[in-house]
Amino acid sequence: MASESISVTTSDDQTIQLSRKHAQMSQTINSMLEDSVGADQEAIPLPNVSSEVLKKVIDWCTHHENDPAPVEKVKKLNKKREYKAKNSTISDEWDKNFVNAELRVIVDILLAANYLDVKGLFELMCKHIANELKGKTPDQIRERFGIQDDLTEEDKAAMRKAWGATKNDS
Amino acid sequence: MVSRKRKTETNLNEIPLECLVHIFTQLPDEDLIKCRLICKEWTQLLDSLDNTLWRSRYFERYGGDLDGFTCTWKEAVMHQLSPLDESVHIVREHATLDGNLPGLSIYNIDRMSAMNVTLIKTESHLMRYFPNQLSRIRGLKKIDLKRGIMQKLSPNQQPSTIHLLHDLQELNLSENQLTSFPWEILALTNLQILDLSYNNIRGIPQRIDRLSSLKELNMSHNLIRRIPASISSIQTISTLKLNGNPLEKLNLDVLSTPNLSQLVLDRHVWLDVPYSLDKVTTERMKKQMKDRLVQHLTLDHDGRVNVSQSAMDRMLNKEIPELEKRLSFVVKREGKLSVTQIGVIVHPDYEESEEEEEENEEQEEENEEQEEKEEKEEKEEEEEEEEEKEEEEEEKEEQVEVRKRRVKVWDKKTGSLLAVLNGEETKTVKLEWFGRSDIEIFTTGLYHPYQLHVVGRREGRIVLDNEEQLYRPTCKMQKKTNRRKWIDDEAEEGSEEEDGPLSEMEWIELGMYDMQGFIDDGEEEEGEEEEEPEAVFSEDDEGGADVADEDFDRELVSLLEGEATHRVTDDGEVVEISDDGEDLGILKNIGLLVLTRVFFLLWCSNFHFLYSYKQRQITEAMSKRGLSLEEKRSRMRDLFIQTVRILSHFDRAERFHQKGVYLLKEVEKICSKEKGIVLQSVKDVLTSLVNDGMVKTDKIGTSVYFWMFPSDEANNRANAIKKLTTDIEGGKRKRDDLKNSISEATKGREESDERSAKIARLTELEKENAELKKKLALYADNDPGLINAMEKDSENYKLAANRWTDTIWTLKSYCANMGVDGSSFEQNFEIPSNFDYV
Repeated sequence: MASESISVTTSDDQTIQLSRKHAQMSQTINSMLEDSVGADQEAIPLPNVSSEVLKKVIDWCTHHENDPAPVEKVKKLNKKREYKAKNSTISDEWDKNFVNAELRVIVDILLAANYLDVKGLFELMCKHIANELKGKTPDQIRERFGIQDDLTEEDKAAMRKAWGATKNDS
Repeated sequence: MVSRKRKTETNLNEIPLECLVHIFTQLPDEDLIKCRLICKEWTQLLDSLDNTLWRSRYFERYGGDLDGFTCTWKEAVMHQLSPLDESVHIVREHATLDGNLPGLSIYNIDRMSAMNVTLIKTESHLMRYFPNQLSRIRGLKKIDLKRGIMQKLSPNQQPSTIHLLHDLQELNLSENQLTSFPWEILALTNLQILDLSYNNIRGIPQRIDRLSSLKELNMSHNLIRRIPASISSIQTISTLKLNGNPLEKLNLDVLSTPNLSQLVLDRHVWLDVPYSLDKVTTERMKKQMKDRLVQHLTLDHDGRVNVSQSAMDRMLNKEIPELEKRLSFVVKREGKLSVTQIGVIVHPDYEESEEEEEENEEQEEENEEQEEKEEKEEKEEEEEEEEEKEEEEEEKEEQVEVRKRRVKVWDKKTGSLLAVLNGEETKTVKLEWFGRSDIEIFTTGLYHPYQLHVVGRREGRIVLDNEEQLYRPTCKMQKKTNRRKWIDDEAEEGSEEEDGPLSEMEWIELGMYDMQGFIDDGEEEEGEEEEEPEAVFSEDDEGGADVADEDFDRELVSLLEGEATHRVTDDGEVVEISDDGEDLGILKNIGLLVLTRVFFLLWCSNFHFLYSYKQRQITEAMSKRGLSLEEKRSRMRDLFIQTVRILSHFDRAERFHQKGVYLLKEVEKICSKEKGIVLQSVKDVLTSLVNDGMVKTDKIGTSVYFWMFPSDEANNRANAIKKLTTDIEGGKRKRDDLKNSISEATKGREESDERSAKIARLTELEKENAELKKKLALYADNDPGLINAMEKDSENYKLAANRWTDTIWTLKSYCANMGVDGSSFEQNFEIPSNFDYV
């Protein structure tokens, strides 16, 4: 378990060094490391992550390296979710800045965090997107996130009817 | 992949589903609904999450069962979607017995406050007290807790915190069991609508005027006797409903409230206040006053229509349009009836003296015709049939006492006679029911005490004023009402009348009811005609009271009191109808009208007949002899079934004291009281029922309980049927076997001449045979076989004799050798000298 830094190869064939501590924040890399104990110093391939995104991820990891262990964090979150699932406010100022980026970057980071299994980052991105969704009309959401409206008018009418039926009934 | 993504526009749809789920978990429920509307994928995803995420979360927030929850949830969401209405309706179908609305935890209360909940509503509930948690919801504007068992707002001496709901504007506690006016309500100064109808409230507090914003007060169908004068100081009050109360006196000050536009009273109360006519002010009120005249028509005990001359003049001159409206309205009602399959033609039928009878008959026919014209629906066939029936009835009547009012009820579609309503001279009205359909009897708002006998061909169940009662022949049931007390006073004279001749063996008396009398439109009518309810008035008429009005009212009062039945017959004479609307034969219409309404009261509540012709016969027999064991058993069984049936109608909270499980003592008590089973024999009967498995019993704790499930009886019968069918099958099989053997035996023995001849010959020969056998017996002595046998025997004897001779010879020679000579030997052994071989 020797060296302090680990090299990974991103999808655009760049090799990036990152500290073991940061690497272990990603469950994916962590498990890879454990699997390949002894097989030293080969760069770990990360075909789903670009170098640009990875740098962002490392930034986040650097900032949060002293956070309590992510597992505990998740547990707390789960507990919270049971009661107040929609507490999606981002408390950390740095995080707010971090999140303040273009949508595609956000999405890429989310995907990377999902792939690398970095719990805290993933939560953060989800929260951010949820915040974006909040308080917008369906049309606004579609515009913001570039989603095709593939629902027919009939579908919508049916939906409204189904959900509004009890209102009329009662 | 990433590179491709960069080229295209960023799309949230590229996020894998599990990430989306994660995002959605961060969203509040309201936003989830919106997300559902974004695209198909999201819709599907959210629907698939439906049970796991937001619904369960909703549970945590509001509690409650899934059904109630979905309904409420959807509604809440719909309100969220429409920004105009922020209020959330909480609809609770069921609440728990302990007096707490489920889901009303502190957290939820806070939530509700935050969500601007303005209405709490139940369809029915089982709360004994007002849920105090509700008073924590600030901004609550409407509380609707009708149909429950609430007796007080709070237990014991603790005050209810309802007064904290400062913003409350509407409070509906109707159809509960409140025994007194909940004084805590008086603190709700912003209250505008207060509905405490159908409770057992005995009075209205003086301080009611503290409800300074009150606009509508509904205290109908309570036990209120007096109305405090302070009500008049509530400036805002516009609607006051006090019908269905045993009001003794109506303080006229009540009418002086400036904005009162609607006052609903029972007619009897109205009549107690004859001068209130003067008080009518507005044009609207005037119209209603005219309307009122029609309502003032009544029947005397001879079944005649009574109207004072003055009132009649008024009506003929001015009120005709209103009257016509009324009539057409009645017709409308009937039209509705025919839709509901209990189509009705009511037609009056009086008999006083023989002379008058003919006249009346004619009138009636005219009435019918009129009605038919108006209805434009009736067929001529029906009329014919009616006449036929009438004739029949006449025949009957001849045997019956005179002076009788009858109303016949016809099925409009089939034209068959459904029922006959008989008013005896006493205050007993008898309804004979021919039909099979269910009836309801509706007595709300009736003012005159009547006893209602219901007789029918079948045993049945009845619902009187929506209060269900099981009918049983011979048992007289009386309606329990809140107003019972003051009815009784008046009703006593006429009560307990034995049925007329029609109750001979052909009829069972299904029951007897206290009725308050005939007629009233009640709420339903109001709805139909869009008129203000009857007896609505207000203060200050411009005209003042003219003499006619006074007369009119006085007479009506007296009529209603049954004192002046003889007075008005002259006024009641018929005027011919002409098309131009003058001189209408109003009274015929009126008679028609009133009698039609008489029927309504019989028609309107549930009158279920459960038919059992057999049972009827049994019960008839019962009234004469004592009860046989079988009868006792069936009665007791009915007791158990009855209670179970009532239990199944849970909706009326007041029936909760009824139970289907009894202790032995209770059974004894009820049976001896209500079922007429002798106390001592109750136990035996019960034991026999238990032994037969009809009634279940078990020891619970220290006491033994008895109960019965309706299904048990069915099961028992099903088992009995099974057993009997197997028996039948066994018998059939046996029979088949025997038949088979018979058919086998008869094979080859078909009847023919030859065969019969042979049989005859056979019998002949058999006879001969017997005779010959007899003869043969005579010759048995000469049987050659016997002789042969004897010859053989004699041969043997001969040989034996020779052998012995030979032996004797040998002995003789031996003795000769011993010195005994032959002669002495022969002498000593007595052997004859000629002894030799045979």
